[in-house]
Amino acid sequence: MSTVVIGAGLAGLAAARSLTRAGEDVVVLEAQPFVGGRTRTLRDRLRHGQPADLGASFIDIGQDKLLQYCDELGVALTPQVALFPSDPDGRLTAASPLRTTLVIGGRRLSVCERDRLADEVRTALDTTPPEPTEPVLAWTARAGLTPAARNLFCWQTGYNPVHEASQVPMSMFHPPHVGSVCWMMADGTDALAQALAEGLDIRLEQPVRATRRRRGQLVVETDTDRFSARDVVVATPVTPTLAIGFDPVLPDWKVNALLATPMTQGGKVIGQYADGEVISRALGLSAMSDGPISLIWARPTGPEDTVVVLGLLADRADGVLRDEERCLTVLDDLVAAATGTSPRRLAGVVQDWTQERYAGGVVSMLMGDFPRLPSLLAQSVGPIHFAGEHTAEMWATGMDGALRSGERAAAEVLQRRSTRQPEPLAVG
Amino acid sequence: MDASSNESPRVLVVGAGLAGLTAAHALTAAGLDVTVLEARDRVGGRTYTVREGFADGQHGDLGGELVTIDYRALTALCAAVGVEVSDEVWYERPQARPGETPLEGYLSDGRIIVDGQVLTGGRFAAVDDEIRVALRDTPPAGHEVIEQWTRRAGLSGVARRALAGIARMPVQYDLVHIDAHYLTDAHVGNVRRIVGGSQQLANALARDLRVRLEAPVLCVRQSGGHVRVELENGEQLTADRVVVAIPPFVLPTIGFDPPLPASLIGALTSMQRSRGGKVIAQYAEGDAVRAALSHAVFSDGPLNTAWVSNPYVTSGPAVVSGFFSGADRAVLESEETALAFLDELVGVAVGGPVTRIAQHSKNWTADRYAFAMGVMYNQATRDSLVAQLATPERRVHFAGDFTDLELSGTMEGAVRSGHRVADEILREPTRIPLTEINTRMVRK
Repeated sequence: MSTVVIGAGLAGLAAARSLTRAGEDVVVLEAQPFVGGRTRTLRDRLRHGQPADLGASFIDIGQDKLLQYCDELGVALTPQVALFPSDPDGRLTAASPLRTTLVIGGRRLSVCERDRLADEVRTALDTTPPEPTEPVLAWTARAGLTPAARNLFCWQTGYNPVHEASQVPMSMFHPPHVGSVCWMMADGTDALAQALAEGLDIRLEQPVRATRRRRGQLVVETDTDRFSARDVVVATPVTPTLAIGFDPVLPDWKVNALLATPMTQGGKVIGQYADGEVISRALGLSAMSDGPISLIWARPTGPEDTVVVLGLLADRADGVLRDEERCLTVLDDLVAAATGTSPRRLAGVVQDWTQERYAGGVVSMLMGDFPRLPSLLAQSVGPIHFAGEHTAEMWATGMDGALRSGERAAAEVLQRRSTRQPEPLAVG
Repeated sequence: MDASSNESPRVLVVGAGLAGLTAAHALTAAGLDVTVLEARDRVGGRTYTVREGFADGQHGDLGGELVTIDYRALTALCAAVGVEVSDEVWYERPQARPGETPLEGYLSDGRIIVDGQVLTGGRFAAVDDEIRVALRDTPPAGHEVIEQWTRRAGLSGVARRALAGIARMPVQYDLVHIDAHYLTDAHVGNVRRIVGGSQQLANALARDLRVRLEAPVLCVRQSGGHVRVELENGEQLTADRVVVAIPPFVLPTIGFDPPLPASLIGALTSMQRSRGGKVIAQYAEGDAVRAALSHAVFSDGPLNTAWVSNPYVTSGPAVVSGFFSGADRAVLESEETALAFLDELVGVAVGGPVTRIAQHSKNWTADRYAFAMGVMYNQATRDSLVAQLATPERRVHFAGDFTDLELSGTMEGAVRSGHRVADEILREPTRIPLTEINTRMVRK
């Protein structure tokens, strides 16, 4: 075959699809028994076959590549949602996310208390403008926020980018670039990966051990098989890429870029509840908390008045992410506090991305040496090309960026076809 | 230094770990007016000695512990302040072959546990041979990630698992996050301990210093030739110079006005944390435990390394330390589970059940004044990262193990950085008042 794609997440699938359409012979090798990578959806854990999106959830306005794919592949979206409103003057600022339901110390703040915190942050943004690279904790200290506003503002990093606050810069929030106009996929996030996979040659449970260059050809070794190719697209997340052997050794600039890209650490908790309409209405757009779960929101209500509530939590080494029942109880309590109801949980699931060998975390943290880092991560090494959310020139860390990176890697391969010597004739 | 001529310059040191205390000690000795601000209720930072519950007056070190031959600044400082350092025990085999890598030095019969069994005899010899041949025929590049090398070299499952324990020992990262130079260039050799625990050094340094405990710093502001330090309790202190000597992942939690340069923050946010911590337990079967674990034992399990922490104690119970890190750090979130792993490993190494008398554990990832055990740089970026991290910002100077070029991630690196930053400050010229320049220095 002519190209081997390693990884059947959105980046790898987009690359394989582009290449296949251009007439390339493509095989996709996937370590897991399913496609979709960090867009995985479970359909057998919640009642009525409701989807449980373990990874990516949202499509944001401006993610046109992602929207284009959904449109083309007939992937339906849920009605438009927002996770938080604008500021009273109509502007979206880093204070806007605090204008949703806030639960502090297990208690829902009154509208008045909430607005006071959000207004304090807004005033500080205007009087002490943050530097884009300034860490959130550093800015809140420099701006002299009160401890309550400081804690809450910094706690946002628990859902964006799902990490504890110390290494997250203000550019993540100022201005907010996600969460104000967004959609989910009506049948679950992995509907897109499933649609993309249609018609591709995908080999599941083929974890790649090494990629070797031998006399102008590449050999990709998995636990059980060997595949030869003219080009390889490595479309695995940062950490799993560091577990693949390369012969010859990757150049130091590539290894350095990979090692200089930590991944955010955390996961997702999903609960399905009875009395969906009541919970949905009481919850509103979303609820943010200072507990282990940073943010919760609901899918549109499902059959028999059920609702699926999703929550994001950073790994704070407190054990919550590792204990499913405890984590779901924390979710129940948060739903109760945020909605003022006594929620009845029907089913639930917890996903810890930090313990997933073929993920290594939630998303890449491209803050060091930005914006050079994504370029270095994307740069090919001879016939070895790199794709994935961490290599995207736009909407990096997101599904949109993953798709863009896959198309870009495919274009690199095709360009080599048009500018390089034709494949040598087989001898013998 | 720019204080009025009859007043000694005032320096605030943020952080009473070994780096901050070393700097404060040197600056105080040079006659400067130094105050150390420490967020915790104790000095020592990531050197942390515990005694509670241990029989026979023994102790354990939940943080930095090993002292190698390279720790020249630390041993000199110990001698200067009257802290004793123990005799050596070997960690790399004493009879090294010429040109042998550290990795080969760790390969010896009876100290590597794979699948719950100690590799001995023929099973050990096969692994030993396989790894040596791989090192010779497919030598790892210094910058190559160890996991990538094991794949490129085509190591067998058992050899890779043997390596999993050894390779995590020196730096406490998973094999996907460290490069091979730690296994091929960075010799550990023999190790010593600070007698009575590593915190003895911090305590001795702090003895004659002005240290304010439980004084976490919120913000450091520079203007008008002075530095103002705001504490979390609202108090404000001013100084001519400030030394920030806190761990690399805590540095971004403090406000700086003006903000720290983008390049420095970029360097800080690009570093991988060494996540995890230590479990320490005291076992009644002292002689058997000392015989089996004095030279460190490696395992492919969640507990990657264990060793006797007080091998210089020759009778009575023995204290054993073990490490959890990387993806396996989650084990530490339950002390009971973590200790069960230690009991099991010690039992396997000793070859029979053991009796635990006392225990402690420390998850440094969950500690808000550490967030990690530390950071180790990969070979190719070390110099440029340290260059950015160790550069002063006007009147604010940076110390800490991670700002040392050669021994980042170690107690020695912390001490060296403390000396370096004290030198930086002492080199600063005294500001000569304007009138004095005009009256005294201008040719009339």
